[in-house]
Amino acid sequence: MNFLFPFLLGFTALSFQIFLMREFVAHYYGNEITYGLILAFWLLWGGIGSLIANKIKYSFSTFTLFYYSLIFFFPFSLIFLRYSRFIYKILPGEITGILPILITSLFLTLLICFPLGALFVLNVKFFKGKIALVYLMEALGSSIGGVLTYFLLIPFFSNWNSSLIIIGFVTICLFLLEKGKRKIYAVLLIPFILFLIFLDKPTQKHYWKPFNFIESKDTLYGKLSIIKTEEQLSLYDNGLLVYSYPDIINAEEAVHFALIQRPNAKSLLLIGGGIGGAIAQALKYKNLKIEYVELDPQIIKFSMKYLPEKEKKYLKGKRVKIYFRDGRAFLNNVKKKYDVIILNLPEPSTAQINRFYTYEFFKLVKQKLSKQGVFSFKVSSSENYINLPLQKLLSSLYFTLKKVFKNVEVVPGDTNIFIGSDAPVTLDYMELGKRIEKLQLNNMWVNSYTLFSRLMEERINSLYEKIKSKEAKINLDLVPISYFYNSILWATHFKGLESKILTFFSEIPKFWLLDFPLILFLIILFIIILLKRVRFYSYLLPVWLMGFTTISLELIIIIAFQVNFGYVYQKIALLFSAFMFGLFCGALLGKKIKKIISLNLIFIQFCFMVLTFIAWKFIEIKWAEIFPYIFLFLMGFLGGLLFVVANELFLKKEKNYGIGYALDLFGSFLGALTLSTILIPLIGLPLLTKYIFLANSFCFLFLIPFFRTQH
Amino acid sequence: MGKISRRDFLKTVGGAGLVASTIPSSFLIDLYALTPTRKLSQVEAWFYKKLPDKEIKCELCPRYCQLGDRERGYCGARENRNGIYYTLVYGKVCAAHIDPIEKKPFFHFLPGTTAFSIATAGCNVNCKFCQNWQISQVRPEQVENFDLPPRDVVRYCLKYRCPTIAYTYTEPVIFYEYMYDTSVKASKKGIRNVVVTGAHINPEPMKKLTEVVDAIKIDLKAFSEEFYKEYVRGELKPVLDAIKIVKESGKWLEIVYLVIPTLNDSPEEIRKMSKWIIKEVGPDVPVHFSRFHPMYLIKNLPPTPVSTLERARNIALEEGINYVYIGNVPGHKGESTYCPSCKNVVIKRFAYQILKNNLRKGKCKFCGQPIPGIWS
Repeated sequence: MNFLFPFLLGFTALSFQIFLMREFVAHYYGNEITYGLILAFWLLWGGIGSLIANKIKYSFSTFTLFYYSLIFFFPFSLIFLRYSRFIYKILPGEITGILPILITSLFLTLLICFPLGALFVLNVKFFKGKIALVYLMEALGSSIGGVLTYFLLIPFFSNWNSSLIIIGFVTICLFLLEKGKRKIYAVLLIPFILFLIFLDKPTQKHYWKPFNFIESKDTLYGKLSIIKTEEQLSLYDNGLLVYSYPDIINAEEAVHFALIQRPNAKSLLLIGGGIGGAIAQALKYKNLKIEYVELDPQIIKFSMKYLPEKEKKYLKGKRVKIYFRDGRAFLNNVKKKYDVIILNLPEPSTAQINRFYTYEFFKLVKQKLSKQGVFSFKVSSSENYINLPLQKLLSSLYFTLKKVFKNVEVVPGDTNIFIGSDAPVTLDYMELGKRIEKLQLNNMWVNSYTLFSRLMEERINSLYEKIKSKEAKINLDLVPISYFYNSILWATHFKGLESKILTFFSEIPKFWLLDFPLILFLIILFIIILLKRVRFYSYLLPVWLMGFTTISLELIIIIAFQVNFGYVYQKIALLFSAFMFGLFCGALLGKKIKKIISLNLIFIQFCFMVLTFIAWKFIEIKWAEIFPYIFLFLMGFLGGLLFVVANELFLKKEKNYGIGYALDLFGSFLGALTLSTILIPLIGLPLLTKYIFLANSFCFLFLIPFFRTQH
Repeated sequence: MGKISRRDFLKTVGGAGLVASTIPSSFLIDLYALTPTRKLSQVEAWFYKKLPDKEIKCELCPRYCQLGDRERGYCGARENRNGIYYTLVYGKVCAAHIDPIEKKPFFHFLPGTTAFSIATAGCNVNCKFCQNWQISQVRPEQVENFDLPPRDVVRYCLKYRCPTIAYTYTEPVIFYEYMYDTSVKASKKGIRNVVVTGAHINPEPMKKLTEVVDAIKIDLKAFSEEFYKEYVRGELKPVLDAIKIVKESGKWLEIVYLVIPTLNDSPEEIRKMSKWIIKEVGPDVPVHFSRFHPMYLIKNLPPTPVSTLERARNIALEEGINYVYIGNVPGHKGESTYCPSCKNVVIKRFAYQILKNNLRKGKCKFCGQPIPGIWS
């Protein structure tokens, strides 16, 4: 029964992490930096927790106390998250700078991860030093926790209820594990959990104040919330406004600039953003058949509950077909060609969305367009002045689009609409006005009454002067630079240091981002070799590198996977699960090895070298879909094995249970922090994997001398 | 890339400033092609007091920044250098465009014409919903500026055939001296000058400004001190005082109230404001209720529901304000001007376009009722 302790550790760690992350990005602006920071702090506190726990005097009651604190702090952190905006005096939906995100995520991860990190060490102490067993059970816990969360909780329950289910489960386990009278502690938790059930809606209502919160729904992809202001309905997805209804201006902007280029178009493919009026606008073109691709079916189903009949009728109309799929995966597989393709998605703020703004994607779009076909997408901009980060973002998008289409025009204004085609496109407002009149579109916003000022020659020219005058980097699938520019633009909203830091990184030569850290790593290796006395610590160096390598490759593989196969919830979940199951199997094998010798470690590091080599060589190739699953499983397997083997070797010399685990987490922390925020967009996946391979090779070479000093 | 770009070509021909100052206006290079300058201005500022130890106290706006040597005011556009206060943005324009006057918005001022609109970087308040935050919430050296001394503003204005210069986008109060001098120069050429401002300014400079400009549009951002404190980082009272000063000066005044859902849209607040307007500046000052469109930090707030704007308009009409408009809702009937006497449409608008003008010499063509404004 006692094996449940480490099992619970892995189980709660993984599920809490998933739900905290899901809730966090629903309340704070979620770009790649936000994701990177939470993950990084999560790992950092875990590492610190395990280091400090090594110094804690072990007793059974302290041991279980940490479990209770987890149960208490997790719901507390979810509630705190919803109220934290009041501390910073920001409104719901207000864009937050890095500081509130930093402070909130540091605090929340401290509450949860510090005990988690400590519990690993306490578990090892509880099992009298059997680190392999603890690690194995922890890996099993996280595998099962992951599968359960991804496949049974998220699809069927809200984040809140899922968290309570997990807490309930842990409480039951604790009741079974506790001894004698102490069982009462677990019983006492029951009213606490029952009380929490009723807190979900009121806390959300508070969060949305002064707006009128109606209902929310957690879907596979995010948190949808409906807000009402007077007769107007607004749908939010992870805190970002998806649409307000009615909002004629946005609805018209979404489709008309592209459609009016081809007034006789027969077919339109709309990728995202069809609900809230855009479809109704497109239906004004009498001969047009519309196919609308939306990733999250709930966006439509949930909206249907609240939208008026009129709008629902448009969506159910004969000329409209709706597909629930990832837009990119849809385009990959569709056989037909369209006259107009409109991308109406949020801006490229994450690697996930950036896939829709790359050279490769635009090329794919072009293949699915008829000869005269038109493609368009929109980005929010600034009407009267374009600052440097925005200029970089718009330029990179412009040149990327221009590389694919002969003719590219961009509509100026607070929203820039990019239009690309191999046939002519025009921004002549007289001409566009005539077409709008001829078709009797009766537009309120996109019509000659506003276009004459918006498309004034002077306005167009001043925009083009900004975005065309300097060559810009092309946005590629594997070097997703646009999302980095988007991050800098976000950072300039605030007068703090964040934009300076990001701009600094965007300007320094690659040497400082790649070669310099690698050289530093080499120097450290040499120093360790020279200082013979601390040699046994060097068993743990591969553990640190393994932490860094596994999290980095995990991020890299997920991005590459989405590029090739689209964002499919179940598949992404399965990828994570494959890795965790690998960890478990690796640890299991590690535990089975009778006598661990340093040769084992050298061999595993050799395998790591080979695996990273494969990643490097295969990253630019379109592989079979099964490959990334196998790869992540193998990486997990080697990671788990390496952890057990290296720690056993180390523990023979010194009884310090926390340090190996801490180093693993510190390595992961470094990877999480640097990769998604800076290295991936600036360096790109191919070069990055190459350097990860190099680092692993150096580590292998470094280990070779240990073979000779065999005991 | 064998061809040289337009910008390179202009560089070789000579600096933009040189071109502008030696060649007649019709030969001015296009605005967007002007070469940016790195230099800021060093023109002594107005409205400040020298204090001991090289300190100064700025008396332009209600912030009263008290600054030591080498310190900048809150606006970022003025600096104390050795005990003398300088404006750094005199003639340093960061945005210049041609806009319909209806976009400012001015509805009783030369309808259907364009305004040559300019701004320099900086602002003395910090609204969470700023449309032009990229230039208002930064220091002048953080943006691209180009040289446009008052004389050149006038020339460009003539070149683009704009009857009016608008000081707008950011807060013109912070480029007061430049605005003032340009207005004086422009008036001599028969060009009108309009100011689009939040009016977070002290009475004395406001009075002086009304002497040289023709019309002022004031953004009344709310009718509560709390809102000003929380979302604008300024004060309401100086704005109200400024409104009164403009009215007293006899210069044309229009008021814009940007309605942000649930933050400043309560019927009580609107009614209180309407009563105040009637009492202090009379029923003939046009009031625009503009629809908030998500911007800057509150980019994810819902836009204002049209019914909220209609409610606000009805309250203001009920209270007796004669010309109440709804802004940013193209095609709405609240965009047009109605004769307060015979209720006919005097000026029919659609977005920024004038569809019909039933004014004859400033009077309603149906009943002869004079409609206040600057019509020719």
